[in-house]
Amino acid sequence: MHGAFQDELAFHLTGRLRAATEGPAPEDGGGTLEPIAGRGLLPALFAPYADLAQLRHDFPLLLAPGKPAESLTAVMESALAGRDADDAEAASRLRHHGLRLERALRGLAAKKGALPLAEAWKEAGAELAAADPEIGESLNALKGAFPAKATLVPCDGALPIALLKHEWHRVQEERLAALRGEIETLVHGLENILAADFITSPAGRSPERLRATIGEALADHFDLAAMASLLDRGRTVATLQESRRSRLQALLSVLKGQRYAPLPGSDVTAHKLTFTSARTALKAWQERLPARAELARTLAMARLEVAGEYTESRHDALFARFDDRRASEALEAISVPSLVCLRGDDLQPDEAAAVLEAFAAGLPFKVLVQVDSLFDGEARLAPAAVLAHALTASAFGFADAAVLQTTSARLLAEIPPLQNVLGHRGPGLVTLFSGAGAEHSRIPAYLAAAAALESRVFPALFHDPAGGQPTSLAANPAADADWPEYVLDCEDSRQQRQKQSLAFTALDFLAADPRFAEHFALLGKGADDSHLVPAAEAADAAPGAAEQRLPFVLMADTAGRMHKVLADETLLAAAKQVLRRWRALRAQFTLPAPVIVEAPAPAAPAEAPAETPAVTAAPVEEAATDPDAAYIETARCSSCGACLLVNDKLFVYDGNKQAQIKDVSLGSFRDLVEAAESCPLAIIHPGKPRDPAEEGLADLLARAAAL
Amino acid sequence: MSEATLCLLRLADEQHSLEDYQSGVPRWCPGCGDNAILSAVQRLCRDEGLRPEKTVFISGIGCSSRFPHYMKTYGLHGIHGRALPIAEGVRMARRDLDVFVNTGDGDCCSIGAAHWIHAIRYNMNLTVMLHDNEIYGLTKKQASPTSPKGLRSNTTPGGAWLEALNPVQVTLGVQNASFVAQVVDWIPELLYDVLHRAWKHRGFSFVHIVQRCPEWLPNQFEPFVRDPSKVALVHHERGLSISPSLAKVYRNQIQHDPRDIDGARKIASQRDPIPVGILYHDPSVPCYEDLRRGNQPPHSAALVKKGLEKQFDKFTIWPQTAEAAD
Ligand SMILES: Cc1ncc(C[n+]2csc(CCOP(=O)(O)OP(=O)(O)O)c2C)c(N)n1
Ligand code: SF4
Ligand SMILES: [Mg+2]
Repeated sequence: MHGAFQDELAFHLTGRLRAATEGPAPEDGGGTLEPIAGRGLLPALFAPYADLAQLRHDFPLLLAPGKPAESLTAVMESALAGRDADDAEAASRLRHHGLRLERALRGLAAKKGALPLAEAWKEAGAELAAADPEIGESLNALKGAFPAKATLVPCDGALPIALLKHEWHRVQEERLAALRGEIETLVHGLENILAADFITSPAGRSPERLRATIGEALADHFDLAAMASLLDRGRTVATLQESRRSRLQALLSVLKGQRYAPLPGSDVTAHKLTFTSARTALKAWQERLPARAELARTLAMARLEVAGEYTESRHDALFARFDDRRASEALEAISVPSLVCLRGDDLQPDEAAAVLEAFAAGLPFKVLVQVDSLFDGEARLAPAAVLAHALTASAFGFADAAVLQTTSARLLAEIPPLQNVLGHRGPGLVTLFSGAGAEHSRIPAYLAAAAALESRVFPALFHDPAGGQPTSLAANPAADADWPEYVLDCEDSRQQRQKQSLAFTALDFLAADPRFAEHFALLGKGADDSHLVPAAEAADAAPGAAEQRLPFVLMADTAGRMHKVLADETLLAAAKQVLRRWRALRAQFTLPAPVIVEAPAPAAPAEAPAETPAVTAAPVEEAATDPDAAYIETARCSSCGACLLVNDKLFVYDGNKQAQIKDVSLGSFRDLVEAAESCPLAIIHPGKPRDPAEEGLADLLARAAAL
Repeated sequence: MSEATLCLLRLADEQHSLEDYQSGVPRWCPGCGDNAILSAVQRLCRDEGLRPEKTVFISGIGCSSRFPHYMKTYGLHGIHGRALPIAEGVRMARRDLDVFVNTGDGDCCSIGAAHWIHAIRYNMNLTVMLHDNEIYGLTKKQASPTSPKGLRSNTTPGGAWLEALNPVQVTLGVQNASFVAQVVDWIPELLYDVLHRAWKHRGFSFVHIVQRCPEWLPNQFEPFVRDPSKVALVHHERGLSISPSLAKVYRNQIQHDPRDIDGARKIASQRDPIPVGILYHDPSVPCYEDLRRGNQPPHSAALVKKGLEKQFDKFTIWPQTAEAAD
């Protein structure tokens, strides 16, 4: 025994397996340590999700222009909902076909990456139809429920930027539409002033101008020269002062030439507002400062002009002094933010510095930092991950920055907070782990990303300075514990069902990374595992305790068999650091204590029925219902379906396949009485009729009374 | 544990709904008690999270024996009277499965009676539902062993000659009976509770279900369905406890310790009111599969193949022999 333990301890401390030159394995222990490389082992916690294409989950997403991102599953479900309620067989066939299509689409997206839905639909549809000609009809029936120009986006390295841009465009479109709308109104107003002036000018009343207004066909019937001179004689309106006219023209030219929200039909190209470098974004921001200032000044002046409130004596001097900075702030009120997407190696220290500079200046920069690899080959935080953490931490220093940290796997759920960050007036930071690093190539990016969140390696947090809510860690699983715990369903060697409870630790995350295979060793058959403790316990142990408690993780091979795998000191240290960071984060943003509402004292049970000593369930409270309303004693329904035959809109099954009244307005009193008569258990109570004019009411009332 | 002793079930933990266990549209008549049994069983599967790939329903022949078709699990619609021996074979080979048996009064108590008696004595871990409509339903109204004396049917136009057989009493009379319950299809809560307890019992759980057949015997149970006083709830702290809502409707109650077999036999002999609940429960009776197989691992695929090949070889016509015969 002792020899085996020494062997395990030596591996734990050095990360090296016994060399052949050191002689045979200790005889007393019997067991040996073996390398895990090449065995296809994955942390047992991942095993249930090995084949994601078979599982309905959030991905792939459907991104359709102008619509919120949705999961393929959700769109399919709404396409299938409420179909052919009267023909259960057709509905079940449609569902069956729909689910097959969904699975095929999911597979295609996983294989090919993002692709147009129409293309994927065609390919998957053709493949399915080859095997089952009947399916074509179902697919045609479903097609209308899917958005026409959507893209199918799987959870891969390209997802975060694609999704962020999609959401960004939705927020930005709304924002720019408001700005564009205002500019159009102002342009219209300014042009009207000029047009009115022209009409009253000699040129506007010249015979040529009148001819043009009347049109060639009729022009010869009029004496246009005489009309022009008549009009000229009656002129009362003063023409515009030259200074005002030129001011209006200058304002118009700025409004029509601005590049933030180009007007429809103009050939002005819009400013590029999305960047892949914060430095470039910052530079562009500075270069555009004079133009922004000019636009801001123009907007302010144009509003006054259109309202007829511009007084040269007062306003000329004011606007002349309107400096760039102040103008810029004025424009921020309309807020035209920039989006910066930084991925992996794009995030260099100078980029991080540019982000901080923008945040410090309070510029409305929305910055996505996508980290693909969290650790370097030595199990230290990778440089990009360090910078991402540093940016998040500093963003809190700038009180007006909104911050969202999450992983790809949660992106769909995080869309509302994401919208908050993008819509927020000030700076916004999204740090995100994609799971798409090369080291995770053995598992889908979705799984790596989910594991990072579960294992606290990349915790989720959300901070919205405008929302008035404290910073939230609520998106983390079991946020008030060190690690989340899961119960796995297993069977033992006798094929009996077992439950295995496991904490999802940072060691489990690291065990999925083949670069660290050498830091793990498999316990051979019959090995001594008496000194091994689960990783969660070891990570929590005081320093020095390692001597007696070596950490293991449970891993599963491709056949689903589970093995105990010993981890070395280096990785344990990395896991401990993750735990320390997580605890620090929790300490910083203490979760609000749950509000405990005192439960009302249970009502005294109704008169207890005689001789029922073995009552265990809580007393049922009779709902205070309208005595005239129809009802079913649903708990007594034996699912015979007789009432559904009378009216299957009025009577529906609940989740236990027991009948209930869905909505009395969906049927008549006659339906209620007939159903009550047909119910073998007599548990349908028709109540009083709701419509006094219902046909044959007297007879129905008599029948109801007889029930 | 350091050996590869645990094996993961390769499925994400899913939330099932009743529909997930429903397969096809039942062909039973509207109002047939089999519908109620089906939904109670589906509720049980959902609430206990039974995995469809680890669950099997086995039946014989009859309306009630169509049950496996409507469960989206494994299933076998067997041959008349043979549901129990098939289920025993499945249980013997695959102790990891939850095995349910659906059988009719004709299927179990007539052609399958011999298997039934021995199945009770084997006490293998099976959950058995006897759908007793007191008639052969599928073949359109012939008297079964449980048809009451005097019942007119296609085979007894002058009325059945014999006193009806009482399946609960029979079961209680066989050695090794370990779980015996009776319930009616029209009290869903009770049906569910009894089936739940039956499924939990490790051993041969026999549930006699009084089942309505509106097609051939529309009036048989009518008075019992309409009048709650014609049903008596059997309850005990070791058996079923009765919910207050149930107790309000069904005032007739019998307190009975399910360890008391004599009491059980006495209750079982009552026919009006129909006693419903757990009549007998003895968790200590050993299961045949445990006695026979100890803790050996199950047959490997290779072993099964070898055995099958050996049997097939007995009937193989070898090419040389065939040529010689030409
Ligand atoms: C060996 C054999 N004998 C006879 C039959 C004809 N048969 C089919 S179902 C049935 C009786 C079924 O009655 P029961 O088991 O009570 O089922 P129910 O239809 O009432 O649910 C009979 C005799 C058969 N299928 N096979
Ligand atoms: S004939 Fe009787 S047993 Fe068969 S389905 Fe109809 S009601 Fe049920
Ligand atoms: Mg029958």
